[in-house]
Amino acid sequence: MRSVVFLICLSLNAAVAATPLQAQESIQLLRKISFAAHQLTYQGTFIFQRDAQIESTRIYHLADQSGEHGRLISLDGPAREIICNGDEMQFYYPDARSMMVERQAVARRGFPALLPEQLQTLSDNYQVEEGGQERLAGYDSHILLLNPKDGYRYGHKLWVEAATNLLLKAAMVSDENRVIEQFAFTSIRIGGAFDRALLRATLPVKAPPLHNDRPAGGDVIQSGWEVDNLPSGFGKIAEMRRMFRGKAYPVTHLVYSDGIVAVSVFIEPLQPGARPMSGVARQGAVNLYVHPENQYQVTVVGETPEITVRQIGDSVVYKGK
Amino acid sequence: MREEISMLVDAELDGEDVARLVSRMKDQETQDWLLYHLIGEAVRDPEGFRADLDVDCRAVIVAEPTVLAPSRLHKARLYALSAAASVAAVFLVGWVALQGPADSPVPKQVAQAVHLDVIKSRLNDYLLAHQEFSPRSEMMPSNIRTVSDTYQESGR
Repeated sequence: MRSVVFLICLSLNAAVAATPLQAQESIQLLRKISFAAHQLTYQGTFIFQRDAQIESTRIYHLADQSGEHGRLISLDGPAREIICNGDEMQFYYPDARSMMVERQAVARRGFPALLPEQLQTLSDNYQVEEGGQERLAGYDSHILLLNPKDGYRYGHKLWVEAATNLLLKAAMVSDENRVIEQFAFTSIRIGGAFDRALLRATLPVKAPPLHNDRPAGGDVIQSGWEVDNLPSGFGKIAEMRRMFRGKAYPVTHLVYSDGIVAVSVFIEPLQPGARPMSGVARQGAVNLYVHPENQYQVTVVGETPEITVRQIGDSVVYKGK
Repeated sequence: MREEISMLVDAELDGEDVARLVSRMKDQETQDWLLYHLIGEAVRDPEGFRADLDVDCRAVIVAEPTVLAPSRLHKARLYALSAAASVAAVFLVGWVALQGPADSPVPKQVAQAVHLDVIKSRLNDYLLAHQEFSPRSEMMPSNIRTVSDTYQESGR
């Protein structure tokens, strides 16, 4: 009898697989995933893979009234450690006897993870389906599939912890169903007692911090720059002028999103004597395209196929006065 | 004090001495420390010396040639400088398939060499700036990509 019940359960499971989700449902779920990653306390080890390269990292993450605190320590290769407190990050490179404190750009502060309008476009661009259940790192997870509706984006597969909605694993998949980039917890403990001592840097520091307050970006502007031939499903979510280290002039930064990934366009004046550049590069799921436009250098970066960054880069035009 | 800071930069102090010195350092001293690092960077790689230096720093570099005495330039320190200078960098070591456009008049191999060099140096900050706005990054536990990319940097 027991095995009959088990069989029925199995077939039910199979029936649940690839059930399309209503737009509203999937949007809610993605919201919860973003929330969980920042609002939960957890500690564990995850692997990050892109192309043929895999590496493991230990993570401690505490969320309390004062915000997010975290420590990441690399387990492969040279030891490195990152301590996060709110929007401040400290990088430790003990082998190099150095450390750097960096504050994230102000542009990000208060920027909601997923804007409602971004999420609304999601269902226009992806078929969202439930993909069944799987046990991962000791936890039960629901699988969420985001199948792209065209060639301008990759597919996504998300493993979401059943009780807390913490993302336990995520993969980006090409149109040939090849995994381009993925991360996965190999062990994790969600919630429970947390020893704050685990948030302290363990690598010996031999030098005081080298401060690197990145100049605040975030001057929201109407730059006059536009993307004429925007790939379907992408909408502009940010436009600003910001300063970067080593550049004496401001750079225009436009951001477009299809609800799940973003593409950034950076536009800067060509410096006297500088050679205009043109080319494509890829790292894992991130494609990059540089292209000159008139007296400006355009750089496009996004977690999309090459065609997307290329089409955007090729149609950047100035329409201001 | 300056001498001690200089020793610190050269990694000639250890354990307790470092702790004592750090606790005594105030703003001016921190500035000095930063300055020595920048000087080291300039010595190591004059071509790539960052353009955003304070005028004050430049003045001191010119005025204090003794700081640049070769005996001070420990190998370990130079390595430290190169790592610190580009921390937070999403470095492009792992990038593949950089190529010129199909209609490029420049032979592909030449184009590749030129681009890789120049592009590397300018894109680190762009990649980080981009990531701040990626909805997908927001769903993942903090800074996955960042820690991974610092690996690329320090592992090079």
